[in-house]
Amino acid sequence: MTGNPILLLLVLGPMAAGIVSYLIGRRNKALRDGFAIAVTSAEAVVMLLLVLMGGEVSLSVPGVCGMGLSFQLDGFRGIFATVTAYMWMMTTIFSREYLAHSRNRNRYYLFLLMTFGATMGVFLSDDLFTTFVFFELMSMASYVTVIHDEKPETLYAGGVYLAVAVIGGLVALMGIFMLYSVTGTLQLSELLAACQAAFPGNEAWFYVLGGCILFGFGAKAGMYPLHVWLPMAHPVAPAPASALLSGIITKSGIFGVLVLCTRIFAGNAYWGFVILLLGVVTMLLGGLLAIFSLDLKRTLACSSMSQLGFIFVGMGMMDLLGEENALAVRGTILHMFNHSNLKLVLFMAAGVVVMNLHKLDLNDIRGFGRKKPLLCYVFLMGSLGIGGIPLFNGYISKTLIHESIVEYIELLEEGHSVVSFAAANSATLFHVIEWLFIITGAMTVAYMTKLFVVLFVEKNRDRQVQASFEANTHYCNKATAAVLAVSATVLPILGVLPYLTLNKIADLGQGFLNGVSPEHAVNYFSLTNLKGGLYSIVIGAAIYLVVVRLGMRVKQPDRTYVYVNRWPKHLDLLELVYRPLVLGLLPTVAGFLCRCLDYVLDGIVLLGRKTTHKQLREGRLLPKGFELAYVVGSLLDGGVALLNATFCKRNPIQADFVRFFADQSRIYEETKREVMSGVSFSLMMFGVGIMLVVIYLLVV
Amino acid sequence: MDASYYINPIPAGLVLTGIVVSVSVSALMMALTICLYREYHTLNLDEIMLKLGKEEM
Amino acid sequence: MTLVQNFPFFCIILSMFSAIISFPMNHRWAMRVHLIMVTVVLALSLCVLGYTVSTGESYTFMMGHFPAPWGNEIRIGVLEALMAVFFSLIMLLSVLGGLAHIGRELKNSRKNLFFILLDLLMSSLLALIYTNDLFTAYVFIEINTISACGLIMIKKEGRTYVSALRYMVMSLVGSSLFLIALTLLYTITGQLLMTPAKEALAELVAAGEYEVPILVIISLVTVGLGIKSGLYPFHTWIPDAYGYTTPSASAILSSLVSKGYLFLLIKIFYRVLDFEFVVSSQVVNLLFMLGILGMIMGSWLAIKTQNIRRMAAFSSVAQIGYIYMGIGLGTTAGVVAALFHIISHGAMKSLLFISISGLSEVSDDKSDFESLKGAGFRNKLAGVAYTVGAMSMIGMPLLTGFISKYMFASAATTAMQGKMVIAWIALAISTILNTVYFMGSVLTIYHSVPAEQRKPHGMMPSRVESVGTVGLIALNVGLGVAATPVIQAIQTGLAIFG
Repeated sequence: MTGNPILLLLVLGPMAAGIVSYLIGRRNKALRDGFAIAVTSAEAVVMLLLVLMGGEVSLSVPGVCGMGLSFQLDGFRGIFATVTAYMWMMTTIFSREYLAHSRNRNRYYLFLLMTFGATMGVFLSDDLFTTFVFFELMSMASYVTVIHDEKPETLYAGGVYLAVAVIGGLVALMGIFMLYSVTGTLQLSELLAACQAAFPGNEAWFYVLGGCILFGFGAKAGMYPLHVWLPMAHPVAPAPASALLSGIITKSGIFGVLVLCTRIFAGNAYWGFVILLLGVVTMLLGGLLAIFSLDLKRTLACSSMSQLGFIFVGMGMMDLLGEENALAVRGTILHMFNHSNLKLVLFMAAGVVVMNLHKLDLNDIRGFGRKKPLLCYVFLMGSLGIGGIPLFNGYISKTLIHESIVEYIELLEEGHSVVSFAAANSATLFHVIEWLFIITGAMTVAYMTKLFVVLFVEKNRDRQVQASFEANTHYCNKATAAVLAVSATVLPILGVLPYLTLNKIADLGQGFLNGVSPEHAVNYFSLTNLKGGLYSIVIGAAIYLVVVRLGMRVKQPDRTYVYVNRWPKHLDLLELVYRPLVLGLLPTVAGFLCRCLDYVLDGIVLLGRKTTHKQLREGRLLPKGFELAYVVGSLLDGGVALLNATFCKRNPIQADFVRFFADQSRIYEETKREVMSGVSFSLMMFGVGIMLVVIYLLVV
Repeated sequence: MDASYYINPIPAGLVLTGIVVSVSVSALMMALTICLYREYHTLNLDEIMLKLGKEEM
Repeated sequence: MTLVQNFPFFCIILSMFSAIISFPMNHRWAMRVHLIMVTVVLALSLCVLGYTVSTGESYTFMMGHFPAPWGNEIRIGVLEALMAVFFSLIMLLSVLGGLAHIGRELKNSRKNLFFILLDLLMSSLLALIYTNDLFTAYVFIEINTISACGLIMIKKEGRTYVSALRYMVMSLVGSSLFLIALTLLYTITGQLLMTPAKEALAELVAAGEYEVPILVIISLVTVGLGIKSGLYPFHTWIPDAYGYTTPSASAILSSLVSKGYLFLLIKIFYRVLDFEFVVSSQVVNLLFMLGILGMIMGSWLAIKTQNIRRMAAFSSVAQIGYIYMGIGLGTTAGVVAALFHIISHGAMKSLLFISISGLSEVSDDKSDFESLKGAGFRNKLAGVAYTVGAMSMIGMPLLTGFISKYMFASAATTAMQGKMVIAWIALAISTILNTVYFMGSVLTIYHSVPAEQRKPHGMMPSRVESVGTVGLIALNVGLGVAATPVIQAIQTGLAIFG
């Protein structure tokens, strides 16, 4: 083990602390809560100190877990490790109150801390293998926190989450193995040079493995079309877990995609274009789903998807711009940072609502926020931040990404054919993308306005409920209030003083992405940039007024409004495509080969049935469950009836095909069962096997 | 003492070992058969399978 | 000849001796003798391992006073010693893990027979590992078969008789094929010891004589030992055999018995038939295809069953398919991966069977999924153990199953292009299938149930069983984290194996 073992402590420490907290929790619950808070706070402080001290710290533990683990702490990783620790500290403090009346808290804290350790492991990793190991651990551990309340919908959503995470992980593993076999290394520091060297001549391999790794990490980052778990898992998880899931666990997926964009496909315009398109679709779809959603947390979840789309757009522009991608690089880093903070605030605010009301539907929580200044302040900060309003942090990062698109358009219009394929050279396409970007920003404003208005402006339809809301002044205790206030205040500070805060963060982080500082410093508050922000606000207001107020509200007889769900019910990717695919088609395809073999054997079996195993026909009752027989039989019956009606009026054919096929199927199934359980079947298989072997060896 | 005056003893040894193994295996199978008969009162494998199926229910 | 070099011989004799002296003892003494014997064998094998690793070469040990090629000998190298260590360790932990069950499920008069059979099994496994003589191998194959059959039917119920019957019939077919191959080999080479036989065969191959008989020998040996270890078309005896007997017996049967035959197959490939020749005869392609078929069919059949023990048995079929795929890749890396999987599957499967028995004993002794809902809450240790075992089988990092998969994937890169792609695809499909049924079963045992179902219905697990379970968990995790010395030992051992 070479290097500084403090990194190992940062990763394994929380995991061990989780086990310790479980043991403590069996005796003393309050002590356990305090212990968890202490551990997370300690880690946050340590991380902050390490980052402020600067310099690079690395650790390599060879020989463990197969290929050995290696960790490194540099600017980018330091930032996100600190953000991870900070978010965990905040949510653990919040969890104390949120879960005060919940069961299974021991289990929750155990897996919360294990996820913490694993996420630190992802962000501190220095080679893809280590990233993968901790990525898998993080997925498995976070599953348990997601299904905390164990209701049927929760278990279903958790199941989808787990399925996507596991399958994604496996596909990513395949990609990682392929990468290793092509380049010979998985170390992040060596990967850029190795991939540049290995790329020519192996392009097909690279795209395949890139697709696999993107599948795995992109699924975790909520990329279309693998986003299906996001809108389901976030609402059902407890609010602190949702904050973490949205805020930082998705960023671990982005970490993997960043490695792809900055090291494996650095400067590759095709790849950048694909990521850009995926990002555009993700952000648009997320925005649409968020506007139409009626559930508080689901809106926030779809909003996360949309913001992650922004980050993908940033990464795509990074690769398209090639050498001049400073803006895109900084925009990506800052949007990741900002979004984590924003979602922390928003989900915790949503958590306060859920904690008090145990309801999420917009119609039920309407008017809860009236006369609650702290909650209003917190939610307002978060909304303004995520909406990209100037003077808040979201504005800065969105401006950077917007500027990178504009810069690319300028490059195209100056006649520099930056890339070698037509689509990416089309300035029109990029103008469209720029407007889509602005429109999505507008959608963000729209749905956040929707939430804000519902919570804080409108009154609940039921006056008594509204009165009880307004009377409820102790809706969260002091610790929670402090946490909310602190995390909310960070946002405007970042937004008002970008040159002091966000620029420094971007400087720290850009080395990891192989970026450089922009040639001329970006003036965030220049007129052109402000104009972009203003467009978003105006269009957003328009979308809100038209879509939400006119479209989604239905007037009720007592002259109040109810929000209805306008989203077409069956336009659900999960139900339409994935479930039939995974649960129906894949096993059928995989089973097809097996069934072929089965049919061969059944052929032998039936042959035996006719000759050596003759038995009597049984009764004539039509058994249930032989659908194929029924379908084929009824088709043939229909054919016979037709024939009877037309050609054979005089001599109708007496046949009952349904019965016939059902009988045959039943006999077939029974025979199969009988023979398969007999000794003779084993011997028959043996005969088949040895014939196969001998023929193969002697003839082939 | 020409070696061709002696027969090769190894095949005899192999066969004897084979006989011993067969005897023990036959003894084991016979014991199994007796146990099966005691349990199911039939030696017809199909019938035994049927009875087993009923036991499972 | 140092003292340590005698240890393998001592181990074999000790296990046979303890079988013989256990006859007149009552069951408590028989159990103690068995446990002491296995621990002693473990300790001695560790010494041998240390010795062989330090010298780095293999040595032969004459059994009796006649030198090769007339007498009998055993050969000990790094690989053999490593296998002996793991087999005895797994046997010890499995017996400990199922000790209370043996106590409960068997009649007193039969318990000492159980331990006698285990002693004989240990001796035959050790002999199969160490032997350098083909006919000794045959004899101990038969001893292995008979003791395994005894273990299958030790619980005298109707179900076990039929499984034992099926097992015996198939096993004997396999042994007969092996015997025929042996006879053929003797006829054309005139040798029974492995090393002289190799030289004689090499001469024959060089001279181009007896081509077809040699191919027939290869095919008969492969099929014969394949039947006994559960290669795909010959696997039908496995679910019945592993599903209905006591948990220690299931654990030992699935982890050790079939692996003894696999090890013998690899030994014959290296020491009698020269691996290069085996590869050129294309039998490895066949093993590759059958292995892949086994991987996929085994997993598919496992998804369909409702009984957790049969599911574990079918998953054994799939795992043995992995091992055959590794051998079938035809490269040294593939065989190293296969050997590592022999060890890791032993650790995983015995953990699974022991924890399954722990789970079903608190659920009214039922093994179907409906009754096992929430069993993880009733028996916490068994639930955790089952989860660890299932995660290991799926291939979670930090556990030994992940290392196996990783080794297979990287071994595939050393094989031909076509085989590499097929192997990767098959690994991916079977991992997904594995995940489906193992995750499904883990979620079932932790299914939330009302509080009164969280109390155990039936027996509570005993202390000794917990020791065994924890030991197996530690073995899984330990292999997962610190596999490198084991892999290096396998590589060194394989180099001096031939």
